[in-house]
Amino acid sequence: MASRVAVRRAQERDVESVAGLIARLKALNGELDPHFLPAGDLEARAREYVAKSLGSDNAFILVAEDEQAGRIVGVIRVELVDRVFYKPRIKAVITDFYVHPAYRGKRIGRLLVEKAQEEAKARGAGLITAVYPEGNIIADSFYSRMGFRPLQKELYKPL
Amino acid sequence: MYEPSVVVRKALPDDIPKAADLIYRFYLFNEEFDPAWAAVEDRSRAEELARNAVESEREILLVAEENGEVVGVARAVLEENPMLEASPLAVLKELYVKPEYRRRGIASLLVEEAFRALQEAGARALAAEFPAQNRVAKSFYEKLGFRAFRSVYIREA
Repeated sequence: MASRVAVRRAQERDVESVAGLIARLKALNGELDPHFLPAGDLEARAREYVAKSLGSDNAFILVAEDEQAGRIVGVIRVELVDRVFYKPRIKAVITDFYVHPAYRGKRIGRLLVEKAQEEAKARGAGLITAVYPEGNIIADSFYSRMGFRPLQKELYKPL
Repeated sequence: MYEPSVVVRKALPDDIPKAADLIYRFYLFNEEFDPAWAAVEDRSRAEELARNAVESEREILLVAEENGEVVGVARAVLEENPMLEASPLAVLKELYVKPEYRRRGIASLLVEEAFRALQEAGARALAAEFPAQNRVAKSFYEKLGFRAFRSVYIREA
């Protein structure tokens, strides 16, 4: 229970386990809303997505690692966006955020978001946001506890 | 809501692998709500669960089928408590409908049919089990006329 969890920047060697967690996140989104139905081959797509993010200047990934078990148990991916029309110009967007269910309730999610905030600030962001499906009530209560408020709406209609 | 193209029926031995897959997905989803619901990484256990349900007189396994595809599953068991007037109780242990088939009343059909079948086997009330934090399930069952009946508290050993 009292195993130490440390947050650090994701490395090339983490791609496999980070992709596994991101695939679980996308599968969960599919449970919450049919408009997030996962495409086949989630894991392979997630690996590509993670590898691309690691090489990007406009995104970063942090991982939470159970140091005793040597296991990646949580992940956060952040994208930096230039808001051309507004101040502050640089916005950090949490695009993917997931803690393995067996490691919930240990404040790992909170730690990941706090470290992501620091890193985003150091990279010039003046604002941080999070994007997730409307039906994700788990995320609703987490972010509200972290002091996030609704910023903008995304409406949809199937075509 | 009623979905005419969907058939809800008792699972046959041939349905076991597909039904087991959906039972496993029920647990993968519910472990998101509470670490105490963390599922084993072993799909064969779901298959065992499904097989026992098909073979047992005290359990029922239903599948919802559309165009030959298994799109939903429900497993309920008879539970005895000699002290309760409501015994035996039919307890829904797993209920799952594939996301792309939701919002069409399929889960309600599964619940009502499971209750009907276990009532024939002597059940005097129907109960449903799910993680206390799963508010989606809570509002679903409340819409069907269920209310909170017992609480189970847990702490790690």
